[in-house]
Amino acid sequence: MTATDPPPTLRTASVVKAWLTTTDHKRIALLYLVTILGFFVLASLAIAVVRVELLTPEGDVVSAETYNRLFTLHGIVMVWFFLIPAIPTVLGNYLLPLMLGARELAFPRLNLASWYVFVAGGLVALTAMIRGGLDTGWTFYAPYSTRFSEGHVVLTVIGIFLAGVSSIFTGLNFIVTTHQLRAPGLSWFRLPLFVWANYATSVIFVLATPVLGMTLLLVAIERLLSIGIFDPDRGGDPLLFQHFFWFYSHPAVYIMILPGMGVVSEVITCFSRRVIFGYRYVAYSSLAIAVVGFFVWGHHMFVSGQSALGSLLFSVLSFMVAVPSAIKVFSWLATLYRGRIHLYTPMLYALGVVALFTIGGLTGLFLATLAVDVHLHDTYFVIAHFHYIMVGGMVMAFLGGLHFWWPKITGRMYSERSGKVAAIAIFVGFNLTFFPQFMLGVDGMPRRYHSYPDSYTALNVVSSCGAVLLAVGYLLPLVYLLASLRRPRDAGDNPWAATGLEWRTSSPPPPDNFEVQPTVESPAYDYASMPVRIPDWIPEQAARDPA
Amino acid sequence: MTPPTPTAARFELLFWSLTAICSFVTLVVLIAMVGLVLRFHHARDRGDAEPIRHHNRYEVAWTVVTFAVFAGMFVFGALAFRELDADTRETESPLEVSVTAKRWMWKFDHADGPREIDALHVPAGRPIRLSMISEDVIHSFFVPKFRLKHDVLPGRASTLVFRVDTPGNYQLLCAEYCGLDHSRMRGRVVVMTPDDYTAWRSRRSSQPEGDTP
Ligand SMILES: [Cu+2]
Ligand SMILES: [Cu+2]
Repeated sequence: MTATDPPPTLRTASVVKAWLTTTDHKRIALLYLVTILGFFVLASLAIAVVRVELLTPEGDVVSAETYNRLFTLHGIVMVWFFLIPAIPTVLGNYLLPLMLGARELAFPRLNLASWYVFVAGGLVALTAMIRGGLDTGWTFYAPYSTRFSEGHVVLTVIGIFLAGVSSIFTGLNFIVTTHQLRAPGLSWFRLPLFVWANYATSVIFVLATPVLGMTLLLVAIERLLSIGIFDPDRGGDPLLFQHFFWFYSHPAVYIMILPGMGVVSEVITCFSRRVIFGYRYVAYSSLAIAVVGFFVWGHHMFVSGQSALGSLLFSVLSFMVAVPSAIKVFSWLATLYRGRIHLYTPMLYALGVVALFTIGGLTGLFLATLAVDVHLHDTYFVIAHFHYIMVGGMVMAFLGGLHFWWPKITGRMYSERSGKVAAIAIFVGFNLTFFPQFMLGVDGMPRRYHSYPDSYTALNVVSSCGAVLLAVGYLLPLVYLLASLRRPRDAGDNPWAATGLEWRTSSPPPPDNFEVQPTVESPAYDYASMPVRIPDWIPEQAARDPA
Repeated sequence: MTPPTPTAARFELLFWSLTAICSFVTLVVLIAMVGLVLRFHHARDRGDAEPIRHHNRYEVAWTVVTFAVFAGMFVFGALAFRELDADTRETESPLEVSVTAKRWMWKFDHADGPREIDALHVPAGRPIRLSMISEDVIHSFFVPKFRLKHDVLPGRASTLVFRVDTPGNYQLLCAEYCGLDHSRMRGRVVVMTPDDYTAWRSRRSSQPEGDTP
């Protein structure tokens, strides 16, 4: 520091101010990153207590009331304050303009506003949690949520409502940006598949989230004024709530996985040095999932008293929506064929996603099969299934993407060896945690059980032990990624020799992204024109890295 | 162990068929992935990086095959579900029991017979029809060994018909989250031979109305 610099406090203040008033999509992405990681830690701590409680069949660690509040906190915070925003608002925000060759998103201030609204929603929800939380489960089923629960339901739904508004801002921004700000030559079918995935996600954001907002407001109104929309004692219908809720929340599952699929397509092509197999099929499958995903919500209601005809239709549509997912898996595998495969950390994550998503997707078919779902519904089988998609798919893809673009975002390379160790720990820990839950579900252990029959003990112990390994795996990247920030910025513009416009600018990119407007002459993933090998200096440098 | 109910038998068949198919597909995907990674690892450069041509053919082929397999799964699942649904609507002369779910207990009221709490005694081999209603929130009547569950709603009767062939004691659980003691809203279904059941019933009707199990 030289003598002309302002005193440190002032300087800090102006740096903070610069960050909080920025309209730079890259900085907003980093604001989001820090915010959602905070929520991830909070929700993980809540579930850690739950896993300790489940070590024994008796409810002996926390009271039933605390237990119910903990799993509710875990679900609400993970779904709305981590999983849904994770890839779109962090990687999407950072990369979408770069991949399009644009200087900014279409509406930079709307982007900043989305972060503020998100933080406001988060603070409202946190306030509710600090004041004692709520015990409705993340699904808010009526009439429990509207009349019987004694927690802070109204405050929490206002928080989620705000998070939803923020999602709509982001979705709108991405859609307009993708339509309007593509670089010269970047036609729709030259777009990276990550852009297609975020585009499809944005469509769901914009079309489905209003339904969630309306439904949650109705819950609040019902609670405050007892007007009887969902309450059968007052002429309402509790199944109406379920229809509304799942009309949003099933598509929300695809909000949570589609962007992850986009990451996988980027990573697998780069580390196989191959063009994606069947570009149009993979791109259209994202759109197909987004559209068909709107018509399958009733598969959550097979044993609710929904009409048998309705259940049949929802079952057949649920099988249909799985077809485009299968197409993606096959296309990723075919991309490996005749590639030149490099097993760097992001690739380990991407292959992990393919494996875990396959299991998550196939077990979804069990739940779509009517007569089988009658038994498995509301058991741990469902918990295991959606954690294979959400954690095995989405969180792993998020981590893979974070590692892949880390040198772009920070200009630094992390310790490759630590990266591999963490990826493997997460993969093994994840399977140890969640595979036993499939078996618990088949044996009939219902979800949201504070205490449970003795026969379920052994599998619960295995699951809780696996969670310890998973937690260690999650802590590692925090350590070595932060450690990498102390290294010099020597990752170079394109350490993976990847295609894609984001690699054609410096690392990190300048405020306006590109010195000169890039143009595009070739289709996406034109690895035929790139070196067949990723330069070797990365592992050498990592070897010198003390981490 | 043989499945105690026809529904459970249908479930076992379907569930294990699905498990076989899905395990097979998972194995194929995993083996293909590991095999491809080993074979095409950059360290063993094979120099044949020519992209695959005619990829449309493969895409169409695996889309069609996937579609057909999924359609098959749907049909078998739907057929078994239809039988369940037909049981519920068409069974003749079942034994009628009214079920009231209430946080956090199950009340059973046998037609012209005894009442009981958290235990349901029924004879083996005869269809039982439950008319279920909740006094407060949504619960779910779930007997894991029967592979059977149905939500119990307030203000709206749900019907469930089943027949148990093997006498025994079966755990009853509440599967829909209903608040504080949701996990303790447990009971049992006691399935007796018809003779035992008749004896139990006459014993119970001679007693004054009570809730002792
Ligand atoms: Cu769903
Ligand atoms: Cu209950």
